[in-house]
Amino acid sequence: MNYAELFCQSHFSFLQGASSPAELVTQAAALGYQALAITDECSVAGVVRAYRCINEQQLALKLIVGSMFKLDKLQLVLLCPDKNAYSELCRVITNARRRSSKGDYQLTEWDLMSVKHCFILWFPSADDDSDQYWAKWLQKYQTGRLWLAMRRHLSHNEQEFSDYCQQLALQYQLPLICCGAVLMHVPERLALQHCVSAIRVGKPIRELGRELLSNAERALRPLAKLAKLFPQNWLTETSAIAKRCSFNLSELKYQYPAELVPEGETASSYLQKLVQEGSKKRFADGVPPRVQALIDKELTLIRELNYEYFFLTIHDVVQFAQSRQILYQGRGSAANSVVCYCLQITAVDPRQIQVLFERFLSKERQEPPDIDVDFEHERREEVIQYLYQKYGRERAALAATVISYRFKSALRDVGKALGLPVSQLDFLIKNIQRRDSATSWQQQLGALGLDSNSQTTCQLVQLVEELRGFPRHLSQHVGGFVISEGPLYELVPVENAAMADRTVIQWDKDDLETLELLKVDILALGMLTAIRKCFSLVQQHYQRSLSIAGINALGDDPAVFQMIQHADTVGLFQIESRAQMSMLPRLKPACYYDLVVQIAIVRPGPIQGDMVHPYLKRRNGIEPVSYPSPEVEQVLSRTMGVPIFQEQVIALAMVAAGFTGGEADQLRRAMASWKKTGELLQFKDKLINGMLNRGYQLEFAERIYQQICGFGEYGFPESHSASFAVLAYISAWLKHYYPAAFYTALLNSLPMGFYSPSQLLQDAKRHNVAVLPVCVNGSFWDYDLQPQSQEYAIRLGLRQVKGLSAAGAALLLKHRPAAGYSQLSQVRQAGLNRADLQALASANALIAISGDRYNSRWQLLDKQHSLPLFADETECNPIAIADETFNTKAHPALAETSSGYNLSTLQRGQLAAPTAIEEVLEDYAATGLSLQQHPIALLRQAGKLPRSVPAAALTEVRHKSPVRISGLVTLRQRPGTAAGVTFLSLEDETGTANVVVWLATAQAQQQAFLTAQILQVDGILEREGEVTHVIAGRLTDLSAELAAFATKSRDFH
Amino acid sequence: MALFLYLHFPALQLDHLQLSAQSSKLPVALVDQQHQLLQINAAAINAGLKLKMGLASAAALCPDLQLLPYQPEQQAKVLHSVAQQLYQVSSDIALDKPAGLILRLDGMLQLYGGLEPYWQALSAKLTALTYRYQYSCGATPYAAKCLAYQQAGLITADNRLFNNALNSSPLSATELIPAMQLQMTRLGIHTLGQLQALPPAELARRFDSQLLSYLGRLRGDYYHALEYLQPEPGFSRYLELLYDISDSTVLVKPLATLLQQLEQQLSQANCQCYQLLLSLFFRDNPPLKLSIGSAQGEYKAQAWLALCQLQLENLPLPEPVYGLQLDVNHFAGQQHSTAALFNQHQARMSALQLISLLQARLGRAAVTGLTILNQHLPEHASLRSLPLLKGDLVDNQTKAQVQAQVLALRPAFLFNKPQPLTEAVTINQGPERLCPDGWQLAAQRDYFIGRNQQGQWLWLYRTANQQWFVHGLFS
Repeated sequence: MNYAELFCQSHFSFLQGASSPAELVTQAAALGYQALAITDECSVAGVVRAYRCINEQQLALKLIVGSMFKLDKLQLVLLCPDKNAYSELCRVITNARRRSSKGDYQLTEWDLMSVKHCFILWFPSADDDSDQYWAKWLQKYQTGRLWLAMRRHLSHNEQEFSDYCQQLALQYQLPLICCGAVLMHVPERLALQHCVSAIRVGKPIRELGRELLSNAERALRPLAKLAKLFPQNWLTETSAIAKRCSFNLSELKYQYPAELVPEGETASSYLQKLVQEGSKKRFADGVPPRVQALIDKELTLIRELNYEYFFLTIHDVVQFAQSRQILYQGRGSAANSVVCYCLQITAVDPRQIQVLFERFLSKERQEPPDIDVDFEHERREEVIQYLYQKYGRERAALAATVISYRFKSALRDVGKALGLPVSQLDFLIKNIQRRDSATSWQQQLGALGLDSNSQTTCQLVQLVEELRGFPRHLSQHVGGFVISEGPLYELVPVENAAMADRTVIQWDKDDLETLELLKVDILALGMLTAIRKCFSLVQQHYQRSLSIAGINALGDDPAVFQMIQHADTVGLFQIESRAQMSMLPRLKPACYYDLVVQIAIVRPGPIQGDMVHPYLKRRNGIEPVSYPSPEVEQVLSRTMGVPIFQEQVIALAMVAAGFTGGEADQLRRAMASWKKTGELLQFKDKLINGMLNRGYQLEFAERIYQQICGFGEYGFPESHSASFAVLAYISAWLKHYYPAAFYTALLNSLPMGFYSPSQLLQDAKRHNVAVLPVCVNGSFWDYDLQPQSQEYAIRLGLRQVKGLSAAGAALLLKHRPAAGYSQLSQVRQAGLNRADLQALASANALIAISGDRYNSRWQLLDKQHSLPLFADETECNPIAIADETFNTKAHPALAETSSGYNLSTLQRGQLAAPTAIEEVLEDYAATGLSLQQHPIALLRQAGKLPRSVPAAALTEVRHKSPVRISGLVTLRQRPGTAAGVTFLSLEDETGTANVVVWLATAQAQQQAFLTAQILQVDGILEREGEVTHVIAGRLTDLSAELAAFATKSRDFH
Repeated sequence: MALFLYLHFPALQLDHLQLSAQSSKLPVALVDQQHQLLQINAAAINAGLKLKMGLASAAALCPDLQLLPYQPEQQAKVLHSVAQQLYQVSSDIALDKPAGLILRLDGMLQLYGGLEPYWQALSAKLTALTYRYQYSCGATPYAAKCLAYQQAGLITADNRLFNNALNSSPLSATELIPAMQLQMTRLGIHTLGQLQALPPAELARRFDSQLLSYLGRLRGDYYHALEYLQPEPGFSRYLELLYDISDSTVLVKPLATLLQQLEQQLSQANCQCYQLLLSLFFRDNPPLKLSIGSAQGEYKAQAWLALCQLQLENLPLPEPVYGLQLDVNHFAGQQHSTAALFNQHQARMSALQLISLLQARLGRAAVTGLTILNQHLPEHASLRSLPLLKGDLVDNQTKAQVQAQVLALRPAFLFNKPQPLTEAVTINQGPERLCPDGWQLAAQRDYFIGRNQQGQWLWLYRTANQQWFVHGLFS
């Protein structure tokens, strides 16, 4: 018997379908279905996954692309018999989606009238009026491609409905077919289907009652059962329809925009010409023969793989950025090519690191070219707008990102559906330690007070596991653009994103890869903004013109690398984190490629693969460099025989475990989606057995597998590290030679990086850069360089003042007299609102004109001065007016207290000036930083910190000796890679000390450990080379000593 | 001079819960909607928890912490009952929700002959209640409250002591809203003393009237209106019989007297009541307590008497009765307006009256209604409920959906327990397949409508292992 299921919704019909497209096609094939139509609601988001699964597993099943729609009481499915029908479907979906906000759609009759190619399955609604109307309507517009679809789900009164439908079919001469309206691939998914239904309506399952499916008949059912349920001719008709559907997704071909190539040129010749022109600029003294050979080789490969348009598109984008002086940097496997260097897509010079350029593109690896371009984060929007403008919204759109259920979201939603109280769920979510590998989360549930044998708990566990990885909604990719020659909606439906004026296609980057469609990644990077701002400051104040390529051309600077080796890297790109800082003195990077390794090594991949120590040993000459085989040597020679990069691990899978190019590509994809799907396990046996068979050690193979899993958590390929290393070096160079400009640029580009303005400015002070306080007369919106005794000092910007609006600051600056404000009334007259004025006073920005912050605020609070009549009144004699307007006689008690008050003190200094501690607290509250004394210094002076050693003096303390330190907790970090250890950073007036807290120590003193903002630690000092740690013993919470301290530490990032 | 005492109960709801739970060893906390700890017990304090702490840090510090939601209405009830109980020793009590009581003392001092004996009586009462509390006297309600918040514990009438204590009070103990407190802090003003030292004229130019009105009330310059607690009305009368009565029907006559008195009092209050508690006293046996209810509320002695009669009719008395007591704990609602003068005798009684009558005769449990529930399985699709209660179908949308589904053919009579099918039937309709839930696919049933030899229409089902049952009968 031949049967094709023509109505089947996957989990891309969000919170309706309870099975993935892959599960559905696999099960349909197993049941012997001839074809399966994936018909998600107004969406084709799931079809590519089904297509990929059929191809990968060689299933004998035809995939039909379609979609289900609802319009009031009308429900129908459109199916695509051919490519024209497919384009039509994409257009209908696009129109319906674009009419609505994100996630919704709105179909109109016009959409349906315009359908000329798609097959239509119609589902009557049992409402006679509506059915009569639509039957007539559909027959009028869509005859010949229209079927009446029958369903049987063993629900009540089914027979009557069936009779009614057959009557309709007779009346309007419609052919009948049957279908399953499938939502699950197996009946066992019923519980999950109930669960997602409950999530959709936001009520617990038990309250839904009859709104839930009454049985599991909406699963894919065996043919034998279908034969019992439906007449033979209905079943045969499905098969006939399936035969007429010949459209295959592989027919989709991407047409690149033709306008990139001038007339009279081919894409290939034009690319060659651009590369040639570029090479003259890049290699002023002539292209070295070795490089020329590489260029030729790359161009040949690009021609063979038909990637010219891809490179031309990116070239066009970076040309635009250049013309607008937007800083950018390309990265990714294809970016590290001489072609990209010549096209000015990247600044990585092939002469600097020849080793990278061998691995540009390869036919064997079957992976698509990968170029991401980072732009200044504040100006990326200009680039995006350029693309929209150049290609139009019809031809350019962002790729989607499928937002999937992760553990926490799954637990929360399933818990709600099972009726657990929200506060209990919050509690569970906060307290389940996913990193605790010793006890699974299921076991932890028991420890957290859930009865592990109860039915609800068992259901919770099962449903959470099933729901994880389910898509929740489509979101926009961070910057992946798809650009085409014709309208995109003929290729793939386009829908609205959450952001206004953004549109996304319904496929994500994996889907695009499957169909071999290329995307262009337009990303944002804060450090590029900072570097560009620093370049302009240097140009403005030091009259020196800088560029990334220019600094690179100066060659590796030993002074800069020395600074890096001493871990003096606060504010630098990629190597400023605490983990990086503690690695720098050990790895001692001395050249560009060392930085590439440095950036990649402090990542989950190499750490979980236990590759860090072997690399350090070999680098320091403690262990000899050796290779298990010549093939491995070829892969690992540049990292001394230790695999560090993701590319190396994939290459190892090929040379050492015998993976084919296609398998290696699958492995790469599995790594990318490891967190979502856990697909990596399937490669474990193949990898380990493959390596054992080829004579490698089991232990080595296991470590490689662990490393692969680590990359799965946070993939980091060499091709990206190489581009990041350039920026890391540039930022280090700037910090070394132009520190004041560097910090200023960084502060003006926040938020980015690891450090707060307070920490950056303290670092600046340690580098002998003077910092001036925020001031109504001195500050601009941004931080600024201002001359001070032959040097430049950093002047705090108004942007640092909490609560000051940008509009208020603009008014302040606009009306600022050349000589500056001299009276408070002038500032008032500038038109700032009350909140802005208060914010300025709190930040002590008014000290030059109205005294300390308390008294400035006090004067500002006075309502009479904001009345127009009093606007010109000077601040000095408010009391006279007050006495007239406020009749104290009516309040004898008040008169009593005020009579003792000395009126003369009620003028300027009405309130007591803030104390030193109050000043610091106010500074932190108003600007998040203080240029006055460090709070710890105040405590030290007050004698509250007996025997505490300042951070800077820790170098004097002997290894393994007991020590006491105190400081502000600026960081609590529990890296996933260091089991049970938390790293604390304690900041005092001299610098930052690193504290290591073991799990047991933390547990025994949880209160101080978790909640202290100022912490005193008694412990043992440990030193390894230049790296100093204090291993915590006793923790004492000193927060109460500086009550209401406003700085919060960054917890557990 | 006026004198006030403020009682602050920092953990009223929690303490109340613990009284009944008697498990104070476990750390317990009440949390609000923002997941902040509002009330914590001693065990939780020992674990290092603090008020206002977030749930995350609390959970990290104390993994076995038990959490309960803070319920303001619940707490208000407890506060009210505390006030009721203190009313026995102190007369002027005002509720200050959510957690405080204001007691005016100057009147009481005369009665008790001084502050000391008064406080002894009151604190004895408070100790017996076992709720944690903080207290202080003050010259005004706000002053006492501010001091109580700081656990000042001042039992005195000495104004100097009050002023000293108030002047050093932090602003956090005042009624000023947090935003105002913050504003003051950012002017360097941290205590009430600093605030009061500023001339009111200057304050008036800078802050809204709330601040001045607070300060005025704090100092007693402005009148602070308090709404004092009124004791709850109720009815409680005891009647000693002139002679012992051994026939329960004869009890009706003396009872009628009591009911007349009740009607009088109800009429005065324009109230009615829903329940009477009648106690019969015997010489040897413990008293017999009867509860008589009226579903629609009643005030007429005649109506109540009829209901009482029904109960008394069949009541066997162990020995003669020598006394009667009639208690009504709650007066409620308004009396029904009297029927129009010329109305015909329509139905003799309303549905509610009928139910009261049936319940009095058959017992409360014997009279129930039937509600439709939103469930697939027939045995869960209806529920015995209170008589005349409307169904639980809340929102209209589901209601419509459910109604459509209810139109599915269902039998009028459903067996409590399905009967195995023992006779030959002819199947007319079906199957309709029902799964109990998503987890029990094997327990699915296929329902059919069939007819037996006698022509009865049966509602049948077949289990997964082909067993047949009759679940209901169509009428």
